[in-house]
Amino acid sequence: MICISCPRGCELSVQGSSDNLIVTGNHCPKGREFAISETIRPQRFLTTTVSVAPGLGCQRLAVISRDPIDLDRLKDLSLSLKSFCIDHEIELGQEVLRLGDAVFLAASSLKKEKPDER
Amino acid sequence: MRTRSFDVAVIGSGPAGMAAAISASDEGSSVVIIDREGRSGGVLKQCVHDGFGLERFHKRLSGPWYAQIESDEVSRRPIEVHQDTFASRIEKTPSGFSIFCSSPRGFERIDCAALIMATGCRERTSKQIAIHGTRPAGIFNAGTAQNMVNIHGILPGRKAVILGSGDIGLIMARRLSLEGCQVIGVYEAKSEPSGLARNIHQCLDDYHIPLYLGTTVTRCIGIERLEAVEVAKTDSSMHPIAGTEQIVSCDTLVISVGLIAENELIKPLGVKMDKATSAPVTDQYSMTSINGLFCTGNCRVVFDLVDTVSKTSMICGRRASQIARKASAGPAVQVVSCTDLAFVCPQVIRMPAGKVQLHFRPKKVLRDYILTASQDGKIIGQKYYSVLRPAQMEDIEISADESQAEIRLEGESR
Repeated sequence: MICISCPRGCELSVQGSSDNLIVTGNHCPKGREFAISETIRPQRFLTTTVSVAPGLGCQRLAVISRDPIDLDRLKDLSLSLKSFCIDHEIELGQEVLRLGDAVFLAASSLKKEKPDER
Repeated sequence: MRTRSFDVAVIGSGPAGMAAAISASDEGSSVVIIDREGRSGGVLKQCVHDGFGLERFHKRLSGPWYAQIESDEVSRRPIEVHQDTFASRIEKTPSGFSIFCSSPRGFERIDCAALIMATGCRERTSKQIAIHGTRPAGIFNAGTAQNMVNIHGILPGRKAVILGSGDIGLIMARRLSLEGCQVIGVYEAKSEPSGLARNIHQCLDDYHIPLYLGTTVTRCIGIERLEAVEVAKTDSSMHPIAGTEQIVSCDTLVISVGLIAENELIKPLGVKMDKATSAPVTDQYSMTSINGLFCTGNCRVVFDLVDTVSKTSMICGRRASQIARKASAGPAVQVVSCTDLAFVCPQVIRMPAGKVQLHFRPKKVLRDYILTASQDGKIIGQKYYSVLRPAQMEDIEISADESQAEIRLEGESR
């Protein structure tokens, strides 16, 4: 497997049973961590966008899950997020919504447009 | 015409432009950023995936997050940001440069002593690659598709074929899958993927999207809307092999076949270009062959990581501020690349240089490789690479003394 922890992309191999996994090919401790979690329970951060009500400066707000999410749940979660709409100002990093135990943070801020800005 | 004057003007408010503006301002210059969009951040605004800032912030930030950190830094400084402002022409003046812009306030002229181009790159289009057939709706560049999905919330289609295995193509394969679009496959004319190995893993393998190497799209089929594409195997020189054609049903073709540095505004000034990067020749401070004219970020060379763009652009901004106050550029020595490398950047080094990073990509995969930089026969930098891949930009640190001899790069596989 290829490590996704950094751009280096080490080729990892994992041997042994689930309680004693031996990782080779990694150049740093992150590689070992990744190989083990990838073997036992693959997870990813989910990034997507949700819609934004008019007057807040843009049409979509980028969001990112606070914690890694099980790989096989990403698609369903992403589709479920399509029905959300943000209608208030948001700060960078603020929690914007929850879906079950998955918490999503704003990846940029939203500010009300000032009509006289120009 | 309304005219304003600044020490340093920056064109483009992406990561390169913002980093350069921040460091130029911190160095004491009056700074203006001219940006054609309504919001700073450049292409990062639409790169909603994570993995940015690993080197700089040791975090897996998403693109908009990285951009916001940077634009918050800009707004803490006395930097003027002109959004929705389009620079259409640049003239060289005795004291620097004049930029002619159209903006919501009308036409403007901005004068500056030093000018930093941070205009990024654009994508090669379907017109620049040989695909036969019709041109119905449903054919998009990957960046355009990304803009539609992530900025405007529009799905470009329901059933997509992706041509080109560059990182943007791979990232769009994942993004479209997450949005409920069926991605039939990624087709790559070369025998090796163009994108990073980690993106093959997390964008294709995670979503069970097949990658067809040595295969390209040869024809578009459809009148109003794309209905199918014809794909064919390619030979070692990437030409389609007759008799291997297959029809693949789809309503969307996403093209990700490379990036072109965007330098149209400064070409008329007679800036010296490098054929290998298709961008201006620059020194270690990102200054071009024209004194006071800088070119940083992806319009200088297409980088892999925004972290490197920010880092090199901060060096650029600092230097631009010094040059704006009449600092001497110093004598230039050439960097002579070797045949294994596709390019090396910077192409010239201003002396005295001290420690400098040279960025490069190999032409093909090289294993157990040692790269040596020398000047006057004296080794000034050496690095061992277990593997070098064209998809991955690498660097070597050199320590250049005051010798005026050219810097030679030589490499060998062990």
